[in-house]
Amino acid sequence: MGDTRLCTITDSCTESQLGQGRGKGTPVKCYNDVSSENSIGLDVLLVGCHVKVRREGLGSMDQPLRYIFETTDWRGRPVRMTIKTYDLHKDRHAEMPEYIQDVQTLIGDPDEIYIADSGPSLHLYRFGLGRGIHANTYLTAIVYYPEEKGSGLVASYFCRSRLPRLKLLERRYVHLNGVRVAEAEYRRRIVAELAELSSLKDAGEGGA
Amino acid sequence: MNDLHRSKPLPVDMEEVARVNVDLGTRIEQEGVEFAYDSDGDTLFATIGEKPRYALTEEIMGNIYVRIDPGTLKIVGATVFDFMADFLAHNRLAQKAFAGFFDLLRQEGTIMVEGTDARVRVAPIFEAILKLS
Repeated sequence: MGDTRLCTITDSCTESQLGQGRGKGTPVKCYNDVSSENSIGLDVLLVGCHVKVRREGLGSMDQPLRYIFETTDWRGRPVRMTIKTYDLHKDRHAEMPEYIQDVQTLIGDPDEIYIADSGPSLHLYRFGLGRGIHANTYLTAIVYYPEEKGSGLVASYFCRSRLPRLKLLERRYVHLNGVRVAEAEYRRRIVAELAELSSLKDAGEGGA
Repeated sequence: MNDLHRSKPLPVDMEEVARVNVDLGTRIEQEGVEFAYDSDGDTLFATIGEKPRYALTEEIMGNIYVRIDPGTLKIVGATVFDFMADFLAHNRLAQKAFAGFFDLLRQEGTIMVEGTDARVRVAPIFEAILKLS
């Protein structure tokens, strides 16, 4: 994430990009993380800038966006999904409505959390919530957190068959033969198993 | 140690996906591709043919994911997260590919590309995505 700077909503921004209730000329704090060598023209740069602005402003706007759900993540932070994002997804990804309760379960109690390569997003994974053709898959949610302690915004959720190639932030649970076990308990069991194997080996050597 | 066996999914075989989707260009030409953009989540959707469909969403690279029918392994779409903030901002090839088109997409909400236009313009993007996998 680059430096933050003060920016102003301009004529190049459409209402859908800005969210509701913000007029042109409104001063807003935004991120400026697109370097000049990667710039793709001022217009797009500004619009890209404002996409981040609008996300950062969630929860603090005079007329907040409308949400399909609001829940709490495993660290107690509020996480929301806008109706617009949900509608765009469900019209293309048929499984979305079926998992709308499960994704809130996932956000509140994920198995594993990964850090996105780009931007302040976290990828949350939980095994075993899938059904039908999605049985034995990971239910995954991509949640955008503009600030360390702020609220999150769900960019998407879906089912997939692999864990991501991203940096692991935290592993909370593992699934052993279909049973969900806390990571600490899993480690304790491994240590206990290794100790047992070691003592059996020692006993075998002593007997010989 | 059997008690400590971790439950995991059977991962989708991407080599098999590549083999099964040799007809991708033809399908794209015949069925068309719908593009849609979610400005709230900064997500681009590309959907082949009819929608909505049940699918798995598998990571190809970075924020690029493909939608795969788990029964047939046919690719039914692609989704790009952090589309403007990361993908467009840091990918000159994508900037050229989406020049003009993306402005139109933002105005229209969705754009359907069909026929030869889809075969010539869109199929190479999907084929490149498949090679990345």
